Amino acid sequence: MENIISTNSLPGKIMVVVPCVLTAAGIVHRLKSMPKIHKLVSNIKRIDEAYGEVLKATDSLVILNISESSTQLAEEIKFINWCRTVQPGAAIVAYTRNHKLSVLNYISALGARVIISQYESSSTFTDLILKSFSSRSMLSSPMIKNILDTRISGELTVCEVQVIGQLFLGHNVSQVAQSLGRDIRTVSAHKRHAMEKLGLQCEKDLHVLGCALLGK
Amino acid sequence: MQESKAKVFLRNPFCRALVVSKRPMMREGLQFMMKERAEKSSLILCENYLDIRPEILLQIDVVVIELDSTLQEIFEACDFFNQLQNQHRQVEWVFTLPVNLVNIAIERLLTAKTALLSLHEPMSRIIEHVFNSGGQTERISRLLLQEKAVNTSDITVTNANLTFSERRVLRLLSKGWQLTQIATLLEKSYKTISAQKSSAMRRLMLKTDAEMYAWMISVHGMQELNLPPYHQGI
Repeated sequence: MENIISTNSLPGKIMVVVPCVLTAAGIVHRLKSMPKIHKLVSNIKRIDEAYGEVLKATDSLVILNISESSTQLAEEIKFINWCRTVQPGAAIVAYTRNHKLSVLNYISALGARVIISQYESSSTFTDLILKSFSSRSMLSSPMIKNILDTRISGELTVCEVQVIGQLFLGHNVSQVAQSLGRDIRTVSAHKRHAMEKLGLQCEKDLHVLGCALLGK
Repeated sequence: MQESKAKVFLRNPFCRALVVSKRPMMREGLQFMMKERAEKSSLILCENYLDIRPEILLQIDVVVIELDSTLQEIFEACDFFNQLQNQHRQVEWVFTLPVNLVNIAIERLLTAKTALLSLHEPMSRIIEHVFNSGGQTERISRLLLQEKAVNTSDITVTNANLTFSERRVLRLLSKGWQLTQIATLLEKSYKTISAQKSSAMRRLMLKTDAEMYAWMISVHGMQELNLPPYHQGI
């Protein structure tokens, strides 16, 4: 690990969006104890407040809690999706309690910069955060690597996210094709590629993931 | 966090606490928070509840435990805590838990010296519970009950009356089979299977496939199809 952090690779702001106050306090305390970074850290308790904050700075790093319960998971996924389209400069650090393979796959396919398990020790956590400043590729903590293992065949493209987002809502392929103004074969290919990337075997896997992400 | 730093009356600034959580950042957060509020307080960090030893508990006023076992393990954990609760009656117990464990916790863990808190409890409430041991505090946090109410409110029970073959098709679908595969397996026409699926969906008032899969993994759907509860994960 490099101890010297070059100032130009630092993000403009580090936001901690973790609803569990104790965990948030732990993270903030850790990050503030590091030189150079301590001024950048801010603690945001609720995810709805994070939207405005992300808009203010173009190059922020958002440490986002990924929870297990599906209602909150849906909110968090929505936020990542929103960041991707509205503020591509913002990097997401998924700080996850949720260790389900397909959810992790989906998050990594959405282009999160780092995925860290909440069960990882605090030194691993700070190491990864420091590394993330300079690295352009996706990082994940040892536990997450174990789960994700060999796969990661690439990020989902914008079209693929759009298509499977609509499929999750319960539209079928032909409806999606019509609403996007594309050929059914195009949409079907998007769907197939997305499912491959996410490691989903069958229709059922896709919809179960959809339920988890939409909070049903 | 400026507003939460305002002085609050701490009934027991010399509080000796023990925290059990699998998440290191949560343990550190509590440690940091306690040091900031009351320098004389002390905290022991534990990763696993099995590490709690009776001789440690003798020196402790408050135990803060984050429950995060799966449904299978929770009963064992509860038994373990009950035993300790009976042996060490001077200790205050504070549990933080997710919504799905609320009912079990209320049934099994609640005693006069126990408090149940939500994972998203505000800082002030946690301080109150840690430092004001013996005082009048809420046993079950209002936030936790609210979360639970939100979670259970949208269950609508419809009487299904599915036929045997409809049920069979749905069960196979829920295992990830495709309609054509089911047709081959049951030696029926694809159209028969498709008709059975759509009549089942009509009976259940489901409009789309996505709704159907959502129903299958819901509690009601799993009961209806006789599926084992724990193996449905994604």
